[in-house]
Amino acid sequence: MKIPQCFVDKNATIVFGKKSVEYQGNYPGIRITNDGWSIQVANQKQWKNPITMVMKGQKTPANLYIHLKTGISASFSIYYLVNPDWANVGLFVKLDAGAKLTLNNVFIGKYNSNFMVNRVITQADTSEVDLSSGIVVSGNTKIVDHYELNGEKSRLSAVLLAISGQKEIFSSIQEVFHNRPVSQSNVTNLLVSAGKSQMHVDVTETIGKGNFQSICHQNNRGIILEEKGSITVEPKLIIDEYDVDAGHGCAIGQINANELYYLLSRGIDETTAKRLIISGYLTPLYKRIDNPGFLKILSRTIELQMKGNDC
Amino acid sequence: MAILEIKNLIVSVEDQVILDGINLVVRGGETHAIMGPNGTGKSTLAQVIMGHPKYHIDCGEILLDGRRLNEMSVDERSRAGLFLAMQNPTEVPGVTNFDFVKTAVQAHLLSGQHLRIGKFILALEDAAKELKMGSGLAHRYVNEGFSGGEKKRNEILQMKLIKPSIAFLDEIDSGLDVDALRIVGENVTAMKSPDLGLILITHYQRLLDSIVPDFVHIMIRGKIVKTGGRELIAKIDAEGYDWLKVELGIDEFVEKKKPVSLGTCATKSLK
Repeated sequence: MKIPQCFVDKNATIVFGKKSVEYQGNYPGIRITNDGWSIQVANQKQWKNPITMVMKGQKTPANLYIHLKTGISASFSIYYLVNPDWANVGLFVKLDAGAKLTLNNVFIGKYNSNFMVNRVITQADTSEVDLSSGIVVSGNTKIVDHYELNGEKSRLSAVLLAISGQKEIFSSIQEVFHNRPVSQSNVTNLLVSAGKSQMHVDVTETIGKGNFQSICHQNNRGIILEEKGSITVEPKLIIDEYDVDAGHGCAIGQINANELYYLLSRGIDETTAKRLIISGYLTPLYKRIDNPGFLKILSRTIELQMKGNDC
Repeated sequence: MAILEIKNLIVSVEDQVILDGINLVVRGGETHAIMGPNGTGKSTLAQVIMGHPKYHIDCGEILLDGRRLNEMSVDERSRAGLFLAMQNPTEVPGVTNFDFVKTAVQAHLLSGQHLRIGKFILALEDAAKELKMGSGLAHRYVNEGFSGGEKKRNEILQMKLIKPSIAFLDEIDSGLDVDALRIVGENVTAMKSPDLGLILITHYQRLLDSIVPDFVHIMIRGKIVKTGGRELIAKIDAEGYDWLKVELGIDEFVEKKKPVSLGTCATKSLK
């Protein structure tokens, strides 16, 4: 896939090509491994600015390993430009004590059969992860997320926004393990089913015995745009400790009739009104993307996806 | 000059008649006030005219400049020139006021016309300033986190930019403090022109002190039972609606209660 014009700033972008890193600016510590790439962030000065990474399509496994050493703070936007011959991809992130990561992770493009994403995030003491994910892929997609809160006072915030169109099947399995006391997680899933797509999300958050004062919350919201679409969510909490704060919620339905009526009463036609309401729904993802060029591509792709066309 | 004609309008919900033969003509330049006790169909009338999908017209006709609105969708009615400032404006999370109002204004342009964005921004800023809405309004999400007064002022802001020919203001005074009521009153009064017909739905004289009506209608049980001038407002404010009982021979205003079946109990015969 050709790199969009919005990523041509070679100093601020790392582009992973088919077999090599096409350009990496001034960022050190990138190694090629047998199954992908590995990035070790040990020097705060060299990684202080937000960094954009672009993953072009690969036939070989495309795993990315990121390791943030003690006390490092980093902000990454990782864009996967999915293409039809891409194999499964993996993102493995490890945070040492006190490390902080803001991660925007967007998958966009077209896949012919089953596209599979594996993500594992492991956190040590007082580390923080603020993850925002967007999935707008034509083709069946499965994403498996595994979060290990292995450190005391570690904190995870994960927002996933997925849009499925046509007859696609989207499934997501999310597991959050609170393995240490005073750990905190907040998981939000925002789902939009257009056309006849079927979406299924299974979220399990586990707080084991002894992990007191941990907090885990999950919130799932889904909008079904057409009658033949479906969204199912299985929110689960497995709690084996008394002194915790845990909760889950799920709301799935069609576009809010009051919101639609309000927009229509201002002369906005139904198609535009629905698009506007959905764009409002997508705001949490849009707000996180600081590349205006990519934002345009993303919103255009989402529009196509909602109209039932290929991305 | 616009003209809205409501002819013998009958609307029912679940076999209960809620508008019972409404007749009303509103011309551009006129201001009408509709008053009446709670639950008599004032807001329903506004929603029916706007085309709310909850209501079905059993009988009657709504015409705007001679065009029949009955079969038109909500957005078509708006584009034809109707506006409804709602009693409880809806929040639309994630959609900025700027995008919302811009899209609405764009929707009202004739085909071939294009919105000049610079001009629109200036108009939006001016309208917000006139309504004392403060900066940052454009980037706030529609009605989300707005106070009651801000929501009502936001309705008037939309009205100023959309420029309808017939506007219903449904209890625009509720939730407004004295200063905000004055601001809304001044702004609406400034919009009065032969190109705009106004219908104010209210319970209180205070709104009608700032936006002076030409006609006052009293609605009871889905009917306009009395029409008059400003003298009616003072009388209602002083005496309520009881005096109409005597004048119109209405015994009581209590809602008709329908019998409700509580179902049947399972029975068991003992031998």
